[in-house]
Amino acid sequence: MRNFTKIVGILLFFITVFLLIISSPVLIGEEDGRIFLHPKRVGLGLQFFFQEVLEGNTFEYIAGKTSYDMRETLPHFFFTSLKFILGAAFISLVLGLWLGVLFSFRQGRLLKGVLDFLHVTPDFILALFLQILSITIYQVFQFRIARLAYTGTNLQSILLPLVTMVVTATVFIIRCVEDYACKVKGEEFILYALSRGVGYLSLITTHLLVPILHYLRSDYHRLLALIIGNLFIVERIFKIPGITTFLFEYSFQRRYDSLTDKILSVTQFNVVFFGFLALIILYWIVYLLTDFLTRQLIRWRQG
Amino acid sequence: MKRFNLQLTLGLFLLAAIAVLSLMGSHMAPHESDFSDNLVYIETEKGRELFISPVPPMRQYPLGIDQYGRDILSVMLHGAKFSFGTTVVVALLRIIFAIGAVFFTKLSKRSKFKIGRKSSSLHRSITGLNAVPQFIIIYFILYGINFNSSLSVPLLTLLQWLLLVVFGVPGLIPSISEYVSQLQRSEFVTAARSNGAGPLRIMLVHILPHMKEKILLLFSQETVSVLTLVGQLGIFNIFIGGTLFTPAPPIYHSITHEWAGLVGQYRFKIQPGNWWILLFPLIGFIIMLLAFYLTSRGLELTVRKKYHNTSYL
Repeated sequence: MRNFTKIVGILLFFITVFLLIISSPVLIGEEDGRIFLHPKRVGLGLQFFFQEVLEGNTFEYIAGKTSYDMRETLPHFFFTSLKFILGAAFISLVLGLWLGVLFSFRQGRLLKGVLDFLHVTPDFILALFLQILSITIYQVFQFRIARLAYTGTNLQSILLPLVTMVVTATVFIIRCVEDYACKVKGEEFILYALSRGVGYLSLITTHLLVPILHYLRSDYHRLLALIIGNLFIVERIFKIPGITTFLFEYSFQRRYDSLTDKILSVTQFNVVFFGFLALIILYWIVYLLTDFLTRQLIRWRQG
Repeated sequence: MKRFNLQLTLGLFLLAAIAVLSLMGSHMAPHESDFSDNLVYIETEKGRELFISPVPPMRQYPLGIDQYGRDILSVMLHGAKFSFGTTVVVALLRIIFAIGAVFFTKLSKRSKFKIGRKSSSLHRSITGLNAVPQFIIIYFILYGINFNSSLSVPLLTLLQWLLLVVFGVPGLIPSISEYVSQLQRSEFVTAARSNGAGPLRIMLVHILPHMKEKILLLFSQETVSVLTLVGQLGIFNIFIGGTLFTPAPPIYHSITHEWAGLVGQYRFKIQPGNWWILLFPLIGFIIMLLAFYLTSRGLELTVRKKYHNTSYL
């Protein structure tokens, strides 16, 4: 009973925080140099949202002047983002594990300096620099290495966004793996395995890798939070029609009304709600899949 | 022999240069902050020529003129104080509030955050919220007041600073709390307590002076984190000091010309031919990031060298 109350309490806490965040663009406003709170507007917006849910029109949203059905468009946004998150998670895990173990054995000061600086370099700097680099290469060598932005279904920008996401996530994993490798290398079972004449390769792939993977599993939530954060930036910069684009482009829109000569703000709570819901589902799909594959790898290495 | 700390020296030198630019930038700028001219006459080898903006870097305009007819050098010089000021002030306030919160909790007799105590469900839930990127929450809060705002630039800037501080403090508290707990277990604290020193005196006279290196280190690390956050908000058109939005065509301008805002507003201009418009604010932003990063790394090395334990292996 106590646990049930706790779960309900935590759920209510999250729902309240979630509602507060998504309604803040409507709740907080300004006029004549003063800040105002508009709880009534939020109430009306939420009332309209729940009314639409009851009437079954909750999946309709407006983009520009056209009305769309989320059941038709949302899967496209969802799978576009899924493709990038999955790609970034798997590539960074493989690369990060390999490089992390390697760097724990040999590491130059310069390399460590570069890795440390990459760790603090914001993802948007990396993305914008990759774009500028691609243009420079194209202008100098007349050679197109990547597409700068998504301009159509057949003209997708994949390489640069993926590189941005992979670099950020890989640097994070390298630092974690390095840390864990140093810890595991000092354990007595490593010394025991060495004294029993276990080969170096086998020592790394079994005795070192398995404990590292166990430790690393606890970092998957942090890794995915980082990747999701990257997704927001990358989809914005490379104009990728993913779930965060859907969320930001259509949830709050500004329209110029020529009749009143004013900029009108339009809020669609259903877009915010389903956008965030899709993002949470995306998060858990990738988390569970990554965790499952890691467990399989551990089981395989342990025989 | 004392080894020369290159990172710290270089970092501090860059920081000093940026600080001078921030203080003197507005006076050094060749043009006013609102100067804009889409047609400019420039002396070239062929004589006096008429140019239509954007104009690439030239002798008279070393960083060029952007598509709105603004001299990028002037714009950056005017915006430097906002970028540097925001980073330093927010990082400083985050540290002050975090230390205040930790001291308050430690001094409070009913402290719920005792060492070794299992964290509560609510505490775990709040920690779980860290998975949501900070800039998303700040974006949502500022959305209603940041665009074409009637609020004055200082008021809006203060409000933005407040938000950046509020969302940064919870991340600092565990680290400071753990450090204070370690110091509380030190022998000199036990000695002071046995001599009759009260909790407040112990905190202010015995513990706080021992934290100066840690505070300096945390401050320099926070500057990097603040700069990143401001840059991410800039990508989403939330600029420090406010955003000027023009609907037809939809363009977002940074009112204060702070550097992250310039990166945010110029990022649409990455095209062969005029990609340099983005390059200079981007380089400025990276130099500032590098300055704070080098200072932070240099300080870390100094502190580590001073307090490290000798390895016997």
